[in-house]
Amino acid sequence: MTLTADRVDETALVDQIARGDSTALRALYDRCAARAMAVARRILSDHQEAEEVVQETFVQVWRQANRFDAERGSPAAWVATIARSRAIDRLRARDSSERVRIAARLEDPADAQTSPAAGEIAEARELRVRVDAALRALPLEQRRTLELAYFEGLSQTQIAQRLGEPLGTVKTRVRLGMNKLRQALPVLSGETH
Amino acid sequence: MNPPDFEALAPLYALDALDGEDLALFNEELKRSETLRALVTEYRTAATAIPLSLAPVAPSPALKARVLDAVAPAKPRSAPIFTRVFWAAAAVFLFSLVFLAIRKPDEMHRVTVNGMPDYKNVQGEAMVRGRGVELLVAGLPKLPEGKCYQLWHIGDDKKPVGQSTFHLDPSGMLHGSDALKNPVAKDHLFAITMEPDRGSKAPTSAILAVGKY
Repeated sequence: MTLTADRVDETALVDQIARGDSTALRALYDRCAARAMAVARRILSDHQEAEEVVQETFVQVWRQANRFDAERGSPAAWVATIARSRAIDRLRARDSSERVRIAARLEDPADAQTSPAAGEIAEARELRVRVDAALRALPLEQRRTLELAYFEGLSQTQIAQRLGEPLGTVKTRVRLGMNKLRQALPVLSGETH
Repeated sequence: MNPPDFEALAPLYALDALDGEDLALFNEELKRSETLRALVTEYRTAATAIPLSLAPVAPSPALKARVLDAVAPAKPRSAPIFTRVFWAAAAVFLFSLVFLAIRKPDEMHRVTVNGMPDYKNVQGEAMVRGRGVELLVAGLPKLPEGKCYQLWHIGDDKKPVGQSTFHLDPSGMLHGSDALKNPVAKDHLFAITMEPDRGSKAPTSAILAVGKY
């Protein structure tokens, strides 16, 4: 099955969920839970808390499926975005010492998760490898800046404070990094999964 | 002061990293400029790629059941949670009365079964007499296809001994009997896990409920 076909199938599932079909929710869970889990665990560094986030995420999907807009991205990206948002809310509720500990773990290269995952379908694995390669091709400081924004939910000012860099430097890094990512992954505009 | 370079700020906006005056000005411009809105959409699409670099992480098997259980009350035919808990408690009570009526009190030991922190709605009892045990537990998540609940007896050696497997009855209760492989003694534990159909030789998932003899 191609990524595009997957996306069409997932969009149909979201339509069914909006009509109260829990079987469709089960199917969407099978497709998207592991990705949502990866996002939540990366942000929170806590497996149990990440599972709570995934549960909240799919309950939100169930309740708000009628708000999904296929023109703004794939269902998988929507689910991952909800998981990210909920995980960051939890992260922000933690005290500062806990956040520093999490930050240290994120900076540890050993924490990078690039090994093949059991059960991952070949197409998804190919996409993951491609995205990972695009991110790794970025200069380290650009990649780090993007990760602080995405996985820690930091604002430009907070990133500048965290890195001890001028605000203008942070803006430039984000702009350059995102432009390179956008150019490296043109396929994502139609097939982000 | 020169106006901000909105195109340069679009990637930060797409990452939700814009703040302060930059954010206020950007929001104003966004209302006016269709081009800027399209650019933000492009960057947001690029941003959704960032988590794709992460290897998938499989949640525990029980999570799916919890998710489906959590959305079940929204379905029209589902009874409100308090109603289900009420009937579950009533069933446990009646079961106890019936059991007490047919057993001599000094022959029977009643073990309260409670859900683990993630399964606080789970409650029930194990009635133990000799090596026989009657199990009645309410509030367990619905079983995914190909799964069952399995009872474990944990004795002095702390090694779980697999007992019978169970499925929920139509009312959502786990109700069944078993003959324990080993005698029960003080401080022995009973535990319930979710396992593949036909059960496992050793637990493969987290404990959902536990009772102490």
